[in-house]
Amino acid sequence: MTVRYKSLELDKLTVTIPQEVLFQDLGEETVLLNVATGKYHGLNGVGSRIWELLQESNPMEMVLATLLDEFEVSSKTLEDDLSQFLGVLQSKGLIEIHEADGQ
Amino acid sequence: MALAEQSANLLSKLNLSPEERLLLLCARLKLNDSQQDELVELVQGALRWDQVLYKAHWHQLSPLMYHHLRDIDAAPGVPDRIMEQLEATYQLNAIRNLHFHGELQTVLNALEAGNVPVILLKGAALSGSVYKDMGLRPMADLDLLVREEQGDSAQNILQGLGFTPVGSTDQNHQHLPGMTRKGSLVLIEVHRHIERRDSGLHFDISGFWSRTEQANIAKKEVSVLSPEDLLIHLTLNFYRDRRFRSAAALRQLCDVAEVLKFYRDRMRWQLFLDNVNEYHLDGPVGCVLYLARELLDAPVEPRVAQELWPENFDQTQIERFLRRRVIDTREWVARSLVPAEQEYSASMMLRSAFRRLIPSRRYLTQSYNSASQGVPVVFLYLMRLGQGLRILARVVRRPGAMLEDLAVDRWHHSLYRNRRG
Repeated sequence: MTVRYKSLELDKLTVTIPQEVLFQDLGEETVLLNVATGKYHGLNGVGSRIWELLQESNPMEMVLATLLDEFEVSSKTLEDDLSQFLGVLQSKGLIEIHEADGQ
Repeated sequence: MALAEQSANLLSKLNLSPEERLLLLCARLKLNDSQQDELVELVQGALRWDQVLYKAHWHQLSPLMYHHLRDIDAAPGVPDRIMEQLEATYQLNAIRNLHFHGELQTVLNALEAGNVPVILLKGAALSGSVYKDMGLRPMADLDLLVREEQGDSAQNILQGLGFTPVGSTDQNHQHLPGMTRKGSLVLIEVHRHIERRDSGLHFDISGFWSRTEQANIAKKEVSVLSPEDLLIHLTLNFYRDRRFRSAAALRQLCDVAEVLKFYRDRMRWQLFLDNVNEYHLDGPVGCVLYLARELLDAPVEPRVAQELWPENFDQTQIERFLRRRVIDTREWVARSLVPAEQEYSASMMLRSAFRRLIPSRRYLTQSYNSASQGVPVVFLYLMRLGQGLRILARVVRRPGAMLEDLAVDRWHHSLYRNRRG
């Protein structure tokens, strides 16, 4: 079964980082700054790795495949967790989510 | 004596301590294999780590030192408490610079909307381009260059964002009073020029504007100086600041060296030479390029070094200058007695000392502007007198050091006193 993000299939999504979001890698952590809100956000090691993959503008299908390869986790759990993580980032204005075909 | 022979033993003659050698090694972004080996050897030897830490902070190299030490095999040789402090400094610097870049984006958007063209200078331009990792290059402020006639417009736009001036600067100063706003760590300096109007180093910078390039910094397409003009600006910045102090000297020299490495294949040396000669800056620029090449392996084209280096090159003077104004962490005791931009004489120093100890009431209240609200003027005079007596005590304790510093100052001044033309 394909995990869905809102009404969209997770692996058919792409993610972009808005211009007003700046970030700094601190080794095992990443600090994000949303210039529009003036708020800072911290990501732990796994969150930082996901953020790194998102920066490369990979379609979510590729992000999922890479994470499955790197972490010992079931596909279902990963998709659930990633979907939740993306939801949090989006709600704070740190990412924009689009369908992969641009629609 | 040939330049190559003169410079061959420069480092060995400086007789650097192991702590200073470690510092010099860390004043660069990348180490080659032999430098890596030397780093490991130093770390595994007997180092006074508190001295290392102090000097790294003094020269603003703590983030770069952390960058080099965190990955080497000899890391166990570094005491945990030292690594922890270096790591904390790196992380603080990274977060601080992230904050700076956030403010920069806001300010650039506002200036763009107000039709005020800007050129990013120094750290703001370097930390997101040459250094890549924002955490590696400390920034004290954001330096923005605007056209002379748009200084007031830029200031008004910043005030519209909630920035207010801190302190004051005179009409000849290269930048308007620094500005900051509530809740921000950032001090913004709006420059009208890169040197004071009454400085011996002042020149027409209209060419800077016509040669700008575009760069992506803080996720904005922004104007930065061309590599050749950037090099002129950074060398002058290093040279000017060495008039009185060595603080941040190695970080500033690192800027020069890294710009040369970053633009190695793009640097238009003939254009650079033509501009340096047109602005009559050969002495100061040649001196700094020489130091960057000798201390930090900066790739300076040999004919450039040969052409710019003054004919009256004096090995003893450059060694003394390097020791006192670049390497040492001891400040010049008599700095307050010698006015900037003037060559001194005994009578001038006495007059200057008197003026500084007992300045005009207006000068005094302006100098202590931010801290003196409600403080009686007589108390400010007493504070001034106390500072003067402390300097005098240091001079009396070490007259030899003062004479040496005066000689260094005379040499430093001589590099641009006779600007051609």
